[in-house]
Amino acid sequence: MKNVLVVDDSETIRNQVSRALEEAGFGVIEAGDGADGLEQLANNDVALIILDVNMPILNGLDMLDRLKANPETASVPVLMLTTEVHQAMIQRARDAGASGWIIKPVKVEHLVNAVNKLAA
Amino acid sequence: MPINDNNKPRRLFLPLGTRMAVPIVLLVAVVALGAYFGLVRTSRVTAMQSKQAAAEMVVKLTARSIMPAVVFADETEMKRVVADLAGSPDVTDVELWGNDPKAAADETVPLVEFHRDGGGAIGRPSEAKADLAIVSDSVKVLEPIISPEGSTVAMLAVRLSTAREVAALDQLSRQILYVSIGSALCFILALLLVLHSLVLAPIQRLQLSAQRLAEGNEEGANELAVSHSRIEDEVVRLGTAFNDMAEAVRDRERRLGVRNTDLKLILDSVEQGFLTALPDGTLLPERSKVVESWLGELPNDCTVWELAGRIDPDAAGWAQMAWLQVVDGLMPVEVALDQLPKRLVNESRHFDLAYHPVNSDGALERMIIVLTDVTADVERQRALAQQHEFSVLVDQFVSDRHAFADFWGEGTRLVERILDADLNHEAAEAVRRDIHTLKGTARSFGLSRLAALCHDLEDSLQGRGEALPTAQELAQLRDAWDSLRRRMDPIIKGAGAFVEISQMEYEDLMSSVKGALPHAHIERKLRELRQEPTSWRLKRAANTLQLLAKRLSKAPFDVSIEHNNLRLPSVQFAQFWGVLPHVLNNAADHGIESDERRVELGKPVPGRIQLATRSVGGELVVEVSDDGAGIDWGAVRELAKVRNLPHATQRDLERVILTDGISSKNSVTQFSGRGVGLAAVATVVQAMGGRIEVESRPNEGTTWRLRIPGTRIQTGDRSESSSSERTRNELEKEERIGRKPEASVG
Repeated sequence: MKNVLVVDDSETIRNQVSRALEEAGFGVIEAGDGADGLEQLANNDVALIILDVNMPILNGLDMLDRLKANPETASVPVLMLTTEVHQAMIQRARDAGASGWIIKPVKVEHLVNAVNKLAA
Repeated sequence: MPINDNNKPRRLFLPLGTRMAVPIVLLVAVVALGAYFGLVRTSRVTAMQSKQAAAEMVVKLTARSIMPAVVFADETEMKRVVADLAGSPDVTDVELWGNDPKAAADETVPLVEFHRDGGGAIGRPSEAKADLAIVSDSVKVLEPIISPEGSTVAMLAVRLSTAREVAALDQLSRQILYVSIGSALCFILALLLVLHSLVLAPIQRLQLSAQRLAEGNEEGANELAVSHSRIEDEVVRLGTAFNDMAEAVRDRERRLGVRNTDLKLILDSVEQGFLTALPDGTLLPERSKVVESWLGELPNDCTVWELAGRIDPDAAGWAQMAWLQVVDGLMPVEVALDQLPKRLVNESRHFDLAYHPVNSDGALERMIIVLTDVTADVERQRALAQQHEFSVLVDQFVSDRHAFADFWGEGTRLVERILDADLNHEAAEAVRRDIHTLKGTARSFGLSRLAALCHDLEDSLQGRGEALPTAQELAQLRDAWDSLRRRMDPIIKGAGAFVEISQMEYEDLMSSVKGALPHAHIERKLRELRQEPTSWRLKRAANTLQLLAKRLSKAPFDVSIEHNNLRLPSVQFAQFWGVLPHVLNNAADHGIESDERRVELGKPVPGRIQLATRSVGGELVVEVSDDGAGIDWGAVRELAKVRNLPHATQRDLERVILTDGISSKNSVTQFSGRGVGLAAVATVVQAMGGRIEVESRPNEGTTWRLRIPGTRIQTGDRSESSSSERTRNELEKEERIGRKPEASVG
């Protein structure tokens, strides 16, 4: 079973995403911020990271930079979740190596389809 | 249709004439050179052979003529003959070798010799036989001189120069060269002329025709391609085939043109804008006319995001990023498409955008974009909603002005707090609460649009996992509230200039005037009219009960009101009226049974609820009675035991159900049952120095009586006194004899 790391400071979002992915047959590891996410990533083998942008302590873009700078995690695909689409922010995420982005609120079927494709 | 040159592979242009002329020239040159060298060689060989034959003949004749002189050893004659031979300018050397009488028998010596300047010795012949050899630029001839007896008596060696023949041959070679070159050039020229005339010129015309056809100049193409020659060859047939092809192209163009015109007519006639985009985001120039009427003329290389930016400049970056995500193909296409802007708004128009990808071999080839102006729909829905809300507000305002004032004041405060909140996480929880409260308040006043907006806002916040609304969401809330305020402000301000009195209060006041009561008394009465009639509050309570009946799927309650013309200071009682809905919820939800249950019990449907305000013994009594199931005191007692609360007397049990966290009902519904509301009512009543009484009998109903002491209650012409009982009795009597209650909702 493939594991997906869900990094979001909203417990509600984490629960929604986790429920959807678990029903789709994925294992889910949750983290409440970027720093927690990096720690979870160091201890788990994950096929995909779902990453919120705005988070306390270490935001999504900074976490993305760090995991792409690490050769051990650089190849893990990253799906960004964003509330609003700011061109500079999305461009930075693309440049940093994010595989895709989805605007919140997320449609469950779209989320599962995206995860199926990116984690394949 | 113009051809896109960008797709053509870049090739070096080498004209066909050049490509054909080069081998022709080379071939002719080779042939000319071959002919030249052949002729020169043949001439040389022929000349030399002639020279040899002549030399051989001359030497033979000389040998015969000199033979007698040799036989007779006549040296003079020998010299004369040699001298005759040397007279020929071609003879350069002559040597006559014979036996020397003074020498050994077999040894030959030159008997006579002649050497011209520049010549040289020929040398003793090695053999006594005839020989001929061409050496360099001369011919050497050896001829034996045979005596009449048949013996060789001497050898005549002659060398003849070939210089004259060589000079003649050189001249001849030059002439041959000139003729060869001239002939070759003429031949090449003739070939090229024929080539150009029969092949190149027609092909060039065809090429120009094809170019004109590509440029859309069909007549010009036809004119060039037509051949008027009577002779047919492959090139002429090619031209004919081209004409047929051009005609077929024209025919297809005509049919396509008709179809395109029909399609464009359709596209230009529909109220939607159809556009096509290439994978790089560039919009093709073929598009519905209406698009440019909405957005102005678009540049030729306009992109999808520039189109979005024409509508909403803030959406351009969003559209570009989303488009890149669609094109790069990493995400599922339906997910990537869902991230594109679907509704864009500018100052005056609302547009819906729909995207339909057209794929080829799994790759995006085109994207059909359908742009729909939904401004009219949005405005119509907005106008309908505004009209509906306005009607609701006016109804509320007319039916209960004070309640409306409360709502308006609270709504204004909530909206201002939400809009003015600092957008930080500390304010988030308060903002979320305020939005929730505004939603409930709006819903209770029938403002479905505002309530829906708040609901969507809550959903959006929850969906994003964030507590703070976006600037756009706040702007929507501000717009919605401002819309209500613009309509209601004039009415509210206008209404503030009036004091409403009932007919009964008017008659009472009139009788005071007619009865010549003291001026101070009349003045007090007039001043008291500015206080709030309880009738308004009870009417609002009745409305609330009917809303609850609808939500609880119960038949509209039979609500009766008995207000007794009381008036209360609105400010002091604001909190009291604010908690009264908890009592109403309890009666509607847990008091009145479901319609089915009431039928089973033989009770009338709908359930009956009585609301009353009375002045009794210096106390204000607010009463809410229902004919519902009543309180299960046994269950309350058991609950009190579990919670270790006093439960010995009925009064103890009444206190228990007013305790925080204890409900009079076991189940919790959306509206009541958490045991919080009645405790809140008790807190407010106790803070006003009052108390709550409850009377309840199983299957007969429950009466909640809220008593507030020491209240300055106005009762029309009857100031608060012991006469309040009489007043109630009188009113009840009036109702019993057929006068309808003043308000009966539902």
